[in-house]
Amino acid sequence: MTLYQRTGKWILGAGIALCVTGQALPAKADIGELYVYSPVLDGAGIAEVEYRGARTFDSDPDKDNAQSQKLSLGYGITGWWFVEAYGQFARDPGPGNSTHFDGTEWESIFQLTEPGEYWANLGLIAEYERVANRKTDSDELEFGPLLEHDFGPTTMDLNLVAVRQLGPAISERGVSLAYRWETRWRLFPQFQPAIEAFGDFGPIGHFNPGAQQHLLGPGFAGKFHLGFIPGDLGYDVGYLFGLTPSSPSGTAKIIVEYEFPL
Amino acid sequence: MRTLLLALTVSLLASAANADDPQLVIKDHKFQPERLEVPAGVKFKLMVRNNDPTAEEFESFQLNREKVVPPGKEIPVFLGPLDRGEYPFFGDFHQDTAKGVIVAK
Repeated sequence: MTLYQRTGKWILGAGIALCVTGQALPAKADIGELYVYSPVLDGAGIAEVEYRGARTFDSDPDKDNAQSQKLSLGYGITGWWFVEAYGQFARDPGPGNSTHFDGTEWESIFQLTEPGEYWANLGLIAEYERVANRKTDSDELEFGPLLEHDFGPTTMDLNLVAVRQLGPAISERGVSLAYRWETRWRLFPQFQPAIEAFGDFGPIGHFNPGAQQHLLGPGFAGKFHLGFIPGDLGYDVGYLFGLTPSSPSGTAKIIVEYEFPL
Repeated sequence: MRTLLLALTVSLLASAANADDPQLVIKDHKFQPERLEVPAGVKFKLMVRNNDPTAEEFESFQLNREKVVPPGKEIPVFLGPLDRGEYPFFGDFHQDTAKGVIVAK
């Protein structure tokens, strides 16, 4: 079976799963997902260890001090397929809450075109999140295209993700539509300024602008070679401002990753 | 679905090597040639072959490309159109020896 046949069957299967199960997320930007994926993979045999952290800031206690901490291991199975497994710790916003183990995530990134082959590079993301407490939280299935295009010295990435809640504790029906966008200036390998945006429109067909969260702000990313130690150390930091009344006033994020050949 | 499969098939065919494509060969953790001239203003497909028994990563910040070349395999790297000038590249796993430059004229 070719990559294209496998990919086609996967798309069909994921689409059916999204349509059949029937429930969706509230329109909240997931602060554990403040990362814009590229459809371009480094290749087979590259391993990755990653930390992602984020925290909200707001004068309203109900939106303040939400936290997410993720640790992950990833590996390039082939030149077009990268898998990654996450463990997530989270703190709900508001006073008196504590950090707890939130669940695990299983993610696949598929590169569908070679970089520069067409006007835009194309990929797919598929992710399943298994929450630790299914009495209060819901599992999630995410699926969507990854798009990338170079404009001179800048690179623009857009992720459009359909999200469906699974499990008994579902808060909203329907498939939710989320987006992640970044335009990055490739100034130096070690320092690349960016503008990023993240948001969630809520269930398709039931968009409620007043309840949506949209975040926008500056970021910086880069990577360093480690001399005689194989691999690269990368970082991605940013501060995002809330654009709607439902959004937290500010959200800080930091991502650190170590990539190395295995 | 048909359209997607057709597009992906076209993509696969486009990735196949052509005799006219410029080529780089990795041997003994060095690129051959280390200086490769290509026409400016033209999109082209660079074929990178790794004749070493270990993997190498073709990388160039100026060209915005980074791709592993498995041992004994060949990969396409789509580039251009490039402005006239020099575009350094290197092998990320053997940076001391695997270096080169693409010159667009």
